[in-house]
Amino acid sequence: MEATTGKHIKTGVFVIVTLLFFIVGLYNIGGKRRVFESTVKLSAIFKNVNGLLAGNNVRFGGIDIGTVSRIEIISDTAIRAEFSIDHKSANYITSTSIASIGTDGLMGNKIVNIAPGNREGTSLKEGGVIKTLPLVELDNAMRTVNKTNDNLEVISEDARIVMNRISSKNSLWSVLMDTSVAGNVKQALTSISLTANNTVVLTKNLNKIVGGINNGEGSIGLLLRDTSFSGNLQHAAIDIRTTGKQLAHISGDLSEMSDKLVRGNGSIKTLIEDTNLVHKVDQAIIEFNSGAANFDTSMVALKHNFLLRGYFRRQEKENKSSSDKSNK
Amino acid sequence: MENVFTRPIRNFLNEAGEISMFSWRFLKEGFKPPYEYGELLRQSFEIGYRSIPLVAFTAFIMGLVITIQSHPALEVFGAESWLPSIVSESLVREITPVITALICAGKVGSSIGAEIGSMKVTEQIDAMEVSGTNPFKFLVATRVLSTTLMLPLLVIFGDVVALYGGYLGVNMKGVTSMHLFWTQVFNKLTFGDVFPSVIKSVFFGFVIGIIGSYKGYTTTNGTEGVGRSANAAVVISSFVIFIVDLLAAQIADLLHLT
Amino acid sequence: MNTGSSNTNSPVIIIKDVSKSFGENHVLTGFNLTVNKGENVVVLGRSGTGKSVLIKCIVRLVDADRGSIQVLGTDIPSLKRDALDAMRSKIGFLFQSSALYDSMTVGENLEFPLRRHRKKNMHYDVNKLVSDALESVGLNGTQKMSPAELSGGMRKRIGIARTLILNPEVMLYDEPTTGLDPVTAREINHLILDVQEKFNTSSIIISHDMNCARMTANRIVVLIGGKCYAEGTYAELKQSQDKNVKQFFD
Repeated sequence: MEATTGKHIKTGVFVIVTLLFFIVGLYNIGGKRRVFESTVKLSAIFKNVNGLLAGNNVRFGGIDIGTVSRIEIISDTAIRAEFSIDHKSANYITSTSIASIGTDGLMGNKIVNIAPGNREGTSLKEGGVIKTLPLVELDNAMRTVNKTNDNLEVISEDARIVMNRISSKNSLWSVLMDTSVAGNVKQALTSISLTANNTVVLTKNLNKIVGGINNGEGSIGLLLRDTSFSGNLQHAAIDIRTTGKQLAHISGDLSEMSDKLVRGNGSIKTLIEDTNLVHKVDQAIIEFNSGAANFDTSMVALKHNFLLRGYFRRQEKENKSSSDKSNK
Repeated sequence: MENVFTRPIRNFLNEAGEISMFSWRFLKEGFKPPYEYGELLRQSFEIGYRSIPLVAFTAFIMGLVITIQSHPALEVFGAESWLPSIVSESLVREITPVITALICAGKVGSSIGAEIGSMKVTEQIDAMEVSGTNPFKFLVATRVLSTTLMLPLLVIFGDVVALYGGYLGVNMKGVTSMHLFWTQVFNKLTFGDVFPSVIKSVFFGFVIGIIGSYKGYTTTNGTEGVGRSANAAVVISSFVIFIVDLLAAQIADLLHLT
Repeated sequence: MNTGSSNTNSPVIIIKDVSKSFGENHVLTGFNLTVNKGENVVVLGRSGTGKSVLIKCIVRLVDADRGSIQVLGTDIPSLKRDALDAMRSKIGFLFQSSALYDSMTVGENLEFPLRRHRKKNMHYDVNKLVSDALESVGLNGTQKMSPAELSGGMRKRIGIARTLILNPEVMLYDEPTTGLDPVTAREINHLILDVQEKFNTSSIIISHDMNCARMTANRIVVLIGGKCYAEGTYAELKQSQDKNVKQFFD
């Protein structure tokens, strides 16, 4: 009988301990899912929820504050996502807060990020609707970056040739003799100003993206918490910006020079005498080159980032196939 | 029309039908009084408590190994920090329940098959019958009930041990605090991971108990038959466990318990 | 050597026209047998002729296809579960393999039928009953042993003790001496006679062992072809000229 009692006790201990594990586990899981807390229901209307599912997390300032409880289509362009938000955290969500959909980590679940609004907003009550922003599409942004990069390469190459000819004193004569130079310079200038415009747009875009990344917003930012990647992008943006400034600079100098050339009073004499101008152009070209080089480095780094690798490869392939076609 | 092709099919269908009848008999008789509490507790001890070391050992190793094996794949993406979440999910959802069930099919299923089988061939079951005891209730119902109740518990226990093994595995390649590990685990796990896993282990337990008992209860041909019954109990229950696992995955998927 | 005590001629077991088939194998084909109070009847037959099936029909371990079986005036085939259990508690059954529960000690083996059959009024001393039953087979003190530690003869004795603990009125022995050495077999035969004397039981003993039949039987029934082929005392049958009967005595 004693042996039997011992067995019963052991079995009982096993059962109770295991059930305790189970209950503690369930409580922990439930705690994360806010099963046992009072919640506030808020919602947001998106154009595209990007595969957001009921049960996905909702974050405010990077902290999990609730889950997506329901997703429904309310019209052909509007999808309503309803959130269960921990009632304490819900106080911080105001009428000026902005909800966006992102991804948790590299390949993680979709999440909803709520960015705090400004102070004028009033705290949302049960059933309130949070504002949303359109998604920043990674692909579009990268397309612009790449195009501008290609343009910059061409221009810098053109400019380099021209500038080399101009700046080398030995060949200055030949430059001036070359009737095509004026045409080239003009062309280069047009492209430069065009690119400069592009650059301004691009810089704005990139700034937005980078800003978004820093705030944890937008698809890139949410997809890629990789700081090195956002660092690269930021560098690229800065490089483009400085290059843009330099371009403006150079184009100013160049137009001055070309004016002289074209107007005809730019005799060799004047040109040679004007060492100041030559020097300025020289300086500008060095700066421009280093700027372009920096930009190239950033682009190379971006190209090596595995997430964008696919995009660049595709791009290369397309270029190749189109050039193959044109070769044939 | 008995030939090489139809005979296995006939045998299979016959066996499937008889096991179904046997299960039906369990459902019909198993829950009627008088209840054999003493025997139920004894079997729970034998099946549950006695399996702890084996389950703990295999679960621990599975936790450790899955973590070590997943590490390189995640490292490629620089996502080592995802290790606890990914490992915990695969352990809780699939690996621990199935491994525990298979281990128990081997340990418990064979012993039930052999024990009842030897009782059958040495007329102990008949002796029980004439002693005014329903041997089906006393032997079969208690064992099936015990495996059905004990297996989910063993699986939960195995989950805990396997996750601990996973924790050690994570720490072999990097440093993660216990607290962070469990936070990540519980962040990832949902009720949809835990409940289907526990519910399917209830069925795994039932399969092990009912097939072991069926094979034992229908043993013929003396001692040789006992060996065959024990063997068949393990083979058939392992096979059925996989089928149940497949069904459970499909049903969980249909119910969106992902 | 007929040692039957009170031969009062009141029938305890009446088997009439019992048939049993397993598929194409017709084991019993209209078997008749009457066992009187305090009488030991040996059913003699070759292996596989359905002797065991006969006594299994009596306790309904096997259901007879046809015929009637009356034990102590009760019709067995028509009994419901509870009544059947009550009837079974009056019938002791010694299995060929003793059928001791391997997972229990000797003491628990003996307690098992006791607790099962007399659950309602447990006002008696279980330990006393167990030791008494063991005493009557000469094995008191083995309560804590496990069946695996016992010899074949001891297992038979424990098996008998397990049936005696319920004070049965009818004893059914299935090949009690099979697989035992001659000395042990003789001890078992003596024990069967002791039981008959002490407990005044009526018994059916299934056997193909002539020594057993000679020592224990008040009457012998020869089972051939599923029927009662011949009947009589050991001495009577020994004189028989029938070659089927003679072969048992050669």
